[in-house]
This record gives sequence, structure tokens and C-alpha cells, in this order.
Amino acid sequence: MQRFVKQFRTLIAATCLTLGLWSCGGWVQGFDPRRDLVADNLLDTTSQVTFLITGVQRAFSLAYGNAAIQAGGLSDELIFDARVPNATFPTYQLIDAGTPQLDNNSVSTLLTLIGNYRFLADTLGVRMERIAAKSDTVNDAGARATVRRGFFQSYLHSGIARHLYANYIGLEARRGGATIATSPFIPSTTMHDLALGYLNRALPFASAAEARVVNSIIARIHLIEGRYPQAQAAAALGMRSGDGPLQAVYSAQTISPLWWTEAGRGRAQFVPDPRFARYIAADPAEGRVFPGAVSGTVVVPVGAGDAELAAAAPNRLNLIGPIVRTGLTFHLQAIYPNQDTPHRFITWQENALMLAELASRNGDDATALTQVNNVRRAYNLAARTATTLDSVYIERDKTLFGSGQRLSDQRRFNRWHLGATTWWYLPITLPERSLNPNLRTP
Amino acid sequence: MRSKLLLVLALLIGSCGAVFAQGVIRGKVTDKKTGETLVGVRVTATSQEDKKPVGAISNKEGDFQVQNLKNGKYTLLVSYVGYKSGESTVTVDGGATVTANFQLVLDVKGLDEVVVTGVASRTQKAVSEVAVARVNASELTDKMGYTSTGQLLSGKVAGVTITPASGTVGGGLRFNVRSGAGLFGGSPVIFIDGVRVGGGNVGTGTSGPGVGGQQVSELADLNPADIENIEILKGAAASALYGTSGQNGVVLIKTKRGRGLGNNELTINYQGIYGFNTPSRAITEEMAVSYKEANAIYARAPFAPGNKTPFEGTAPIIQHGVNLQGNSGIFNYYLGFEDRNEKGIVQQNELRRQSFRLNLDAVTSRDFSISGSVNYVNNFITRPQNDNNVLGWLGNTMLFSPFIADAAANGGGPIPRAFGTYQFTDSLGIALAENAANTRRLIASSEIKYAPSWLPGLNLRAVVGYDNNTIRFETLFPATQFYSGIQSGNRSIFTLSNERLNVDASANYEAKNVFIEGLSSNTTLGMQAFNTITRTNFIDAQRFGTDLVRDIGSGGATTFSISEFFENRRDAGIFLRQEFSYNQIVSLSLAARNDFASSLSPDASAIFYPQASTMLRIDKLGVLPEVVNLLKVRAAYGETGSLPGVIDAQRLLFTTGQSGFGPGGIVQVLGNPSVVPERIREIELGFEFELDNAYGGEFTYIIGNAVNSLINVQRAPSTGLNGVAGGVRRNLGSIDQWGFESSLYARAIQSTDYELTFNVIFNYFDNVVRSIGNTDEGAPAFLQDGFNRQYIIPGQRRSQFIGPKPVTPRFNAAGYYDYVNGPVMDTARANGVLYTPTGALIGSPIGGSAPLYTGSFSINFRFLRDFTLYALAEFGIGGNVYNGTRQFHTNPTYANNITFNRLANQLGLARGQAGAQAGVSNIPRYADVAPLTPNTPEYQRAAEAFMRQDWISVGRGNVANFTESANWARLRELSLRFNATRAFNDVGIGVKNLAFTLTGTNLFLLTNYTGVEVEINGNPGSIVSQSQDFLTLQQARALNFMISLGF
Repeated sequence: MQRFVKQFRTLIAATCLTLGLWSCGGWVQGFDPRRDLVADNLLDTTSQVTFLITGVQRAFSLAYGNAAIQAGGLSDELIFDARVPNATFPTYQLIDAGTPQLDNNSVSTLLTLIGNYRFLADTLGVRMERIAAKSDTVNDAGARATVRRGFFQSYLHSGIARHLYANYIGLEARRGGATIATSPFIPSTTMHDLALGYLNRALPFASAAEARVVNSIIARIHLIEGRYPQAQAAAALGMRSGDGPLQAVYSAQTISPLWWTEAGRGRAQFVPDPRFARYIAADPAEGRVFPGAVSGTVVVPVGAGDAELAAAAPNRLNLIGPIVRTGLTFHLQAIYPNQDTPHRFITWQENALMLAELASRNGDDATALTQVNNVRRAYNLAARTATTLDSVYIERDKTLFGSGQRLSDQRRFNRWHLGATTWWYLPITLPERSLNPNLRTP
Repeated sequence: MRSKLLLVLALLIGSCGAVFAQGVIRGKVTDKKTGETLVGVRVTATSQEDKKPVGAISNKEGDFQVQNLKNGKYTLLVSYVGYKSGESTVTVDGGATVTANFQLVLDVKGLDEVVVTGVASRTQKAVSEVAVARVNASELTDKMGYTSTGQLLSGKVAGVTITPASGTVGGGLRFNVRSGAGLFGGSPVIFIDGVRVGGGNVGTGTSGPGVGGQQVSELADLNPADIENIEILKGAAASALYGTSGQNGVVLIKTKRGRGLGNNELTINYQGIYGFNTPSRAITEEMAVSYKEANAIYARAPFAPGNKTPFEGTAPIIQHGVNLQGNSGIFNYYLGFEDRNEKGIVQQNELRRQSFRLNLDAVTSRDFSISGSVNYVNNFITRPQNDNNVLGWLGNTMLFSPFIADAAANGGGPIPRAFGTYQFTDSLGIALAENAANTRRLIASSEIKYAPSWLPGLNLRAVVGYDNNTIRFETLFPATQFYSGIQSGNRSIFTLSNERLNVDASANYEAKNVFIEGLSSNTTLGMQAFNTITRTNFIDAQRFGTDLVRDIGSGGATTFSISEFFENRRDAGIFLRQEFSYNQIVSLSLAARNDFASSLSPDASAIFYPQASTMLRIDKLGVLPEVVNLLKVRAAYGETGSLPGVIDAQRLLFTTGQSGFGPGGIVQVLGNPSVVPERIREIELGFEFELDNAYGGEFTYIIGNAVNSLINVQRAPSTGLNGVAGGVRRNLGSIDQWGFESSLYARAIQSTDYELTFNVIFNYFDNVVRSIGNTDEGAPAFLQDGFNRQYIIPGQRRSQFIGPKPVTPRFNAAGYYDYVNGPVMDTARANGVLYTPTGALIGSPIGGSAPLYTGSFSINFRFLRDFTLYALAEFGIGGNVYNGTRQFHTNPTYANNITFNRLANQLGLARGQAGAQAGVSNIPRYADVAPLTPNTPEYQRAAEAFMRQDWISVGRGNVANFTESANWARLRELSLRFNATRAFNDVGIGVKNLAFTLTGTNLFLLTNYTGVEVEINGNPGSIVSQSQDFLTLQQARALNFMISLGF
């Protein structure tokens, strides 16, 4: 033994070293993974598709909810006034003035949320291609249905994400558009074309009701882009009376709509423009005004509980107020009265108003009137006897309150309320401008 | 079965070794210089045939006698604390008595002691190629009563400072080893008898419920009295072979082992400690107008004025410790038990610790030995709510002034505020809030050594270590009291469990006279593997309705919070070291380690760490006078690293996000598969000298850097991955570090009755951050703490305080100080003012946090043979502390700073004065302060002084105004010990040891810092935020009486 060890000690040491290197490398990689995390590649199965779709829908709720309130602030829908109790966000104040700076953190947050939403939707589509290619998926009817849902939701949301970019984000004050995955700047029209590409790909995977939703979104995009014939064609296939809205869904325990947290009972930074109170004053059937009072740093409804507020949510307009503070009289919105009130993204009423607008633009006032009255009837409002393009604009103002459409309406109808150099879009902020090599100023 | 048990018992406690009464070795041991006899010297005779040792102790005449020796050759080893060991070979033949006398030489600094110099290398300190540090803990615990291991090390080791988070008993610690290794510093890795243990801080954020910035130190679980010594490998040059885990140095704790060496010896020791914690500083009116209320919360000293009974209101310390140290047959054993109960200086701070330790060593054959250790600890620590916390005593006595402004507006003087200073939380509410951390911890190890007789020089060693601690945090805010942010009571339970397993194995082969006579070769091949699992779970509920039902399940369902965490990490490394030494005059070592870690991608390149070191004993070259008994120069280079987090290298990980749609998949982690560990390099150059075996010193210059430091890099928002987990970890940072550590020591007097030794440590360390990456690549322009006070930013020291500086006050149209708009700030780049790449003002560098110069001075004076006076003073110079408490005092809402208040009165800004403005009108009027006239030089001077009290924001200069130079010197330890052993033995009461000791800790502080506690470290685990004092509890002054009894 002694002689053997002495004679071969170098060889023994080298063998130990080699064995040690080999076994250490394997051993350290055999660790137990975290329980709260799952590797991306383990999600490529049909059993995970619902989980992934829900993740995309969650991201949609966050991105759309954030876009809708900032768009409301930039438009003449919401106002910022420091006299509102606890309204202190300077980023919102600058957005309201149409002068958001490139370091506006609120807009940066929105860009992060839309980016995350777009990433989840796009990667779901790529993942669905991999899942669909698996033989066990092809041969299983249940799996095929899941795959259909996966493709549909992926393409739907990839389209909506690009629509959010095109409609709300801009490189310059009057130049809409954004970037995708550090791409060069994509103008709004091109971005909307990308959105339409995804939405059209969603249609083959859609149910009849889902297809109507997709067509309404397509119609909205064409309308924004001023392509009225295409908008007419899509809207004709769009949502009908009785169709449920496509909406962001929230819960009090997880995430709440920003229209509740930052323009409602949460901590109101924005409050509705006073004209909405005037709308109701002119026609009390437009909505309810719940009495409110300042309690500490928030405004609370007086005499009405959560359930009563929720019951009134189907109204076109609801407000809490009036509150008077240092010469300011204001209301809070109450169409999203509770933390779990869903946030409407698109409705059959919007589709009807698109048809009305398109008819009006075509000189077909009778159709326009019919569509406007269809909408008014749904809200138990008296029928109009005549309509014009301008009255459709006002109907849209009331009907689409809180859905982020006012910003593009003001642009489309050339009814901008601020100065000539103010922003029509929320700016691409510094994080993207500095970290995207295609956008960086040399 | 019974007979087997008896056999086992016999093996454990019986005398199994057959003894054959034959030869005797006897002799006398004396001091070579003085000729005085040495008492209690341990003499070990080891048979060269069967390697079995037999021992004896010299008596009061210095005589020893080793009996019952078989015929044969014996190696005699004589060892005595403070002396170099003596060794000789004697032959016992025919039962004769052999005489062997020894004259021992002083070894003031333990040059002959074998010390650890690396992962598997040990050598005598005199020939070590790297700077080594050993703290003889057992000597210290004889002198002082320590609560934790951290206190044991404080001020004892050159290059190492230990800063407590606060004065909370059992609280967290920050280790500063040299300049802090990597970009973000950190704590050293700690081994106890070969077990790699956790030594970090738990109890805030993800590691338990916080009570402000305080945490609980895992080191508070160890019984200091169990520790024999602590060795520290301080930098990469020494710790490279520990691999990626050794980036901040390695602390090796060795606990006490059994003694006796086959003689069936048994020593039973008892140590009792009885003492008190008291505040080390009184709060003065200059520190807070509310000083009376602030002082009233602290425990009182025994016999303090006002005590109804002598010990009323005191914070007692009571400790009982018993250990058995001895030998039985083939076993050496150490059995230790400790029960310590210590109360902190404010209510709700208490430590109750029971520790049990069993160390066993067995020599089963002449080739083979095994040893094992088991330590079980039950540690119960309750913490008060301090540090940036309005639910505790400090937040309710150190923020609000006890006076209000109103009536004083008419010049009537301040009037008391309703409810005094308790404006946030009622004193009963504070008293009833509970926060407890109960640790149950098992630390166990077993070690096997094999030195085959058939191949002399080969030594095989394997250690398996296990550290399992479970900490259960419980908090309670009773429903019947009001607490801000809590609805009808709150209770939470957080359980943190750490399971750590390490296996270390090495083979060492030493060959003498290779190639040439006198040249020895030492080759070591080894491996280390470490597996750690962390589990936590947390539940929290509010809305209890009553304080009588506290079951967490009875809390309100809508406020439940539940979470769980699990993480497993594995590290491993294999190393090879080759050393050549020529007659211990000159030596050269080359080594390398290859590391593996589960926190790196399998595709990551190998982690390879080289190390090289050398030393030359000039004193052995024969060119120096004989008085120089040591002059050694040494140089070493090493590299080590700092690992990324476990998931940092994993490309894309999803988790569950809840919404109204239900649970859905969201991206949680975007990793970087190519991330590698931060690499730390260090060159160490040093020399050591000793004259006349009595005076000596050492000096080590260190220069190094860290590169590839891990920085979180943001992706562009359009990628969809911006903001995910704070960014992607990339190897972009770097920092340069340099400095020196030095010590001088002297044994000025040495005689039977008197002995005087001094020890001075002086360190200087600095660093500068070189890079944290390019902002165009998504790297941040700087890293900062949550309050924008301290930065990691290129060109500056780590954790530099930075902020705009006020230059000149503004005045309003009426000529009064313009409090609304604040002072004019320094924005001139020419003055060194820093800006971000996008042009935003950051501010002027104000100073670093950690002291540039640290050190200590200690003295040990034994007089009249049996009395010993010991003192240790520490200092820190060149550091800064942010006085957040003073900042809040100058908030007019609190108006708790007398200087600020009086200045405001002078400037006419106080309540009802002509210049009162929004923001300052809450300041009370002082009838004895005459207002100054605006637009006069006196008013200008007062305005400039007031400007430097502006508390409002970073933009108004609060970083510059409240970051204070914080130099300090502290009398850390003082003890007077009377060794009564001789006196008792002289009167016929036979004891091995009997001593009475009086000790004091933190007895005196000298500082220019205006706050209460200068040695501050609000958050010991924070990367950037250091030395920020906000309602931080001061360190306690501890007074102890100790009895040590051994028989």
C-alpha cells in the first residue's frame, strides 16, 4: 500500500482532482428550485395556458387602467387642482397642463406597464406556437380548445397593447407613436397597422361574440386613423346591443382601477371636469350625484354605501359631491365607485356611436340618430329627435367617460383645449430614450 | 443489553487505557530570563512508539512528574500560556527516573502558536506568509463578561472593526474587515469547529418583522465562554482558498476541548456574572429639549438617586455557567452549560439564553482520531421599537418637544404639551407592544483525522458540519391600545429556518529534505461543499377586538397576510496548494481553487482563484543582533469573489400575480446567464518584528480592488422587462481599496509579582468607487439609500454622504430670514458639486461613513501577583454620522432643538413674532431671547447659523446640515481581577482556580458627535445606508461582578 501510494501519488491526486471537479459541478446544479418561481420553459404546456392568459389579462388591467387615467388627465376629461384634498402629484399636474416633462415618473410607469403587457401577450403567442406543435395537443380536443383560447387571447392583447402605444404615447408633442423591444420609433399609424395585424390574426380563433369585440376594436383604430370606410366595415361586424363589454377586472385585495384610486374615492389626484356635473344638472337622468364630504385627506360619499354606489354604476355618469374647498367646487367620479368595479375598455355603446359618427360623416343622419338613440335608450335617457356630428361628439363625451377615449376624440375633432405647443400624447420618457439605442440622441 | 450499556459507559467514563507502572520523567520548569519557577505548566510525554500522550502539570515549585511510563523514547512537549513551547526527547529505560528541566522563553504575541493561514493550512505564526490574527477568547472571558461573540472581537484584531446596530441586547452587528472587500462590503464567513454557520443579521424586511432598523445577530446565539480562540483570515490574500465564500474574510471559532491526555483529569469550572446595564450617556438639553422625558425611559443604575430600593428600575445581567473539562480513557471531553439573562437599558429588551455544548475527542488508534461537537442553544430576545419608529420609547420621547407654542406667543414662556412627548403612541401602548425572537439552534460537527503510520507525512482530514436554526418572531400590538396604522390590534408570526450543511475534506502530504537538505514540501488537495436551505413563513392579522384573545386565527379575515419563502443554494470548491519551505527561513506557496455554485449558470465559465505567498525570516540569516528574535517580511496575493443571488443567472422566471381575473403568470425575474461572481483581488505586504522576546509589532499594507461587481441594470421599457426584479444583474462595477493595519506590543514588566503588557492597534483604510457601469447600458448613475443621503458613485468613497450645501441665507422683503424659499445652494461644478449625466444636481461630497482610522489601546497589568487590571480603549477617526434625530428636532412641528428654537426667536420667526412664516410658526417663544434687528450683521450671522439647521429636504441641504464629523474614543473594557487561588490554597482550601472580577463596559466616551450614540449603524444589513442615526438606541454601559471557581 505504502509503495503503491508513494509510486502513484501524482496519479492519485490527479484522479481525485478530476473526480472532484466533475462531481462538484453536477452537485451544485442539483439544488431545489424556489417555490415561488417557475422557469419559462416549464410553462410550455396546455395545462398552463389558462394561467398565462390570466397573467396577460392582469397586465391588460394594469396597463389600460393606467393609460385611461393619464389620458383622462391630459385631455379635458379630468382636471388637477391642488385644492383637492391630498392632490399632490406634480407629475399629474404637468400632464393636466399638457406639459409633461421627459422625466415624468407617472408616464414612465405607464410605459413599463404597457411594455410588460405587450411582452406577456407576444410571448404567449410564441409559446402557443410551440404548444400547438406538440402531438398530444393536436390529438386532444380539449387541448385544441385551450390552444384556440391561447391564440385568441395572445393576438387580441398583442393588438390592444400596440393600440395603447399608438393612441396614448408620443415622441414629440404632436407626434404619436412608440417603440417595441428597443426598435426605432414607430409612428402611431404604423403602430396601429401592427395592432390591426394582430387583431386580424385573432379573428380565426374567436367565437362569434369575441369576433364582434375584435371588430369593434378594429373599427376604433380605423376611426382614429381617419379611415372611415374601413371603420364602417369593421363596426358593421362589431358589438351589438346586449353584448357584454371587454373590460379590465380588479379586486380590492389585489389591484384596483386607477380611476378609483387616483380619480375617485381612493386618493383623488384628478377630478372630473365641471361640465360633467353640468350634464347631470341639465338632465338628472344622465346619472346620480351622491352627496360627499371631506374626511381627513379623502372625500367620502355621505349616506350611500358601497352597494348603492355599485348599483348605480350602469349609469352613464355618476358623481360624488359637490365639495367646496378654498373657492374650488368639484366632484369625484362615481362610475367606478368601488375597488372591484370593472373598468370598461370597449362596449357595444361605443360601437353604436362609431356607427352614428360614420353615418353622420356620410350624411346619413337618420342612421346616426337611430344609433344615438339606441345608446340613450340603454341608459334610460330620452330619445333625441335630431343629431349632428357635433352632438355625436358630445354623446361620446358622456358615454365614454372614464374609458380613455376623450384624448383621441379631441384630436380627431380638433377640439384641443390647451395651447399650441402642448402635448397631444404622453411622452416617451427618459428611461426609453436613454436605454433604447435606436432612440438615443447621439 | 444492559451489559452493553455498561460497556459503553465504561468506554465513555472509565479508565480503559492499560497502565503499566514503570518509568518516570520529572523536572522543573523556569522562566529563562528571570529564573522564576513556572506554576501550572502542562507537560506532555508522547510515546514515539504508540503516539499515546501522558500529561502532568507543574506544581507551585515548578516541578512536574510524568509517571507510569513504559520503556521507550518519548517526546516531551512543555506548553504554558505566554511562553514559547519547549520540546525534548528522552528515553525511559528499565523503570528509571529521567530528569528533564525546561527554561521557557516568553512568547508575548504567540509566535510559536500554530495558527490557521488558509483553508487547510496551519503553521506557526512566526513563519506565516499572511497576516494572521488570533484572539485568545478564553483569556478574555476570564477578564470580562461578554454577551456576544461580536463583543469578543471588538478592538482586538488589527484591520477588523465591529459596529453594533444599536444598544439593543442581542442586536445586529456590522463587520468591517479591512476596507470591506467588494463594492458592497458584507460580513465574513464564520466557521465554528469546522461548521460553516450563519453569522448574519435577521429581523427586518424579508428576514422577519422589524422594529426599526435593528436586527438580531445570529452571533448572539453563541456562548462566549465556550470559545477557546478565534482566528481571522482578513482578506483575499489569505482567504482565497475559501473561494467565493471568503470574500469578506473568514472567522474561525474554536471552542474549548477536553484536557487530560490519558490522566483521567477533570476540572469543573463555574462562572457567575451579576451585573447591570445602564445608559452610557445622559441625554442633555443640547441633544433634545425633551431630555428629561428621554432620560426617564432608561434603566437606572443600582443605588441611583430616587430608587426606592437599591435595585429598583435596573436592568440586571445574571449569568451562570458551568463547564467540565477533562479526560477519561481515550476520550477528552468538554461539557459546557450557560444560562444568561440580560435586560437592556429600555423596557422590552431582554436576552434569555441557554446554551449546552458537548465536545468529544477520541484517539482510537495511533493513526486515527475522531472528534465531535454538539451545541444546542435556546435564545429568546425581545426587542423594543426603536429607529425610525413612532411606536417605541425613543420615538415618543426624542421627537416632540414637551412644550407647545401657543401661550408662549405672548412671551409667557413655553407651556407643557398635552400628553407630553407621547404624541404618537401612549406610554401604556408602548409598554404593552411585544416583539420577540426565539431561536432554537443546533450546531454539530464531526471530524475524522487519519495519519497512516505506513506513510509518514500523509494526513487526511474530513469534517461534516451542520447548523440548523429556527427563529420564531412574534409581534403583538394589543387591540385595546391605539397604534398608528393598526386596526384593533395586530399580531404576526414569522418563522425563519436555516439549514446549513458543509463537508470539508483535505489530504496533506509533507515531505522533508526534498531535492536538497532542509527543503520541505507540503502539498494539500481538498474540497469544500456547502448546502444551505432557507425557509420562511409569515402570517399577520389585525382586528382582534380584545387583548385577551391573541390567537392569530381570531384576527380579522380581510387583513390577513400570508407568505412563504424557500431557497436552496449549493456551493462547492476544490483546491490545491503547494508549499516549499527551507528550514523555516524562507518559504513559498502557490495555490489555486476552482469553484462551483448553484447561483451561476451551468454554462458559466469556471471560477478560478489563484493565490501565492512567501515569507523570509531575516532574523535567521545571522545578520542581525541577537536581540532581534524575529524579523520577518512577507508578501501574498490572492483572489476571491462574491456570488450573485441564487436566481440572478436564471434567464426568465414567472410567478403568480393576482387580479380580478384570478391568478395569472407574470414575469418576476429576468436573469443573466452569463453573470459571474464579483472578483476581489488583494496584495498584502507586511513585516513583523520582535525584540528580546518582549517588544514587537507588525505592519501590513494592503492594496486591492474588486471588479465585475454586480450592478442591477435596467432594460428599456419597450422590452417589457423594465423594472422586473429591479433589473438584470451585470458585472459592471469596480472599486479600489487600500490601507494598512498595524500593531505594537510590549511586555514591559515580567516578574513573579508584576507583569505589564501593552498592545496598540492602528488601522487606516480607504476606498474609491471606480465604476458602476454605463448609464447608456441601463446602469444607474449612482446607487443611493432610500433617503438620498448616501451614495455609491464613481470617484467617491463607498457610502459617501452627498447633498447640496447651503451657501447663504435668503431674506424676504421685510428683511427676515426667508424660511419659505430656503437658502441659496452651492451648484458650482467648480466647487466639486456633482451632477447626473442628464444634468440633475446631486450635491457636494460631504464625507464617508466608516472611520478612516480605527484602532485600540489595551493594557494588562498584573500586580501583587494575584491582581490584574485590564483596560481596552477603542477609537475611530475620520467617519461621519447623519444625525437624523437632530434633523427632526429642527422640524418646527417638533421644535425639539434648543439651538434651533433660540435662533428662530433671535430671527423673529417664532410663534407670534414679526417675521413668523408658514413652516416655522410652531416654534415657541423664549422670553429670555431678544429678537435681532433684520439687516444687521448680528442678524446675518444668526441667519447663517439657522440656515445650517434647515431640516426640510435634501434640496434644502439637510444632508450637508446634519451629516456630522464623528470622531470618537471609548473606554470599552475595564476590569480588575483578584485571583484568590493561591490565597485559598495557602489556607488549605484546595481549588484549581478562584477569582473575583469587577468589570465595566463602555465606561467613557469622548466624541465630537452631537447625537447620543456615535458608533451607529442603523441598518447593519444595508448596502448603502450606513451610519445614519435616527432614534437609535445608545450602547449600554455594563457593570459586572464575576466569580470564577474551578476545582
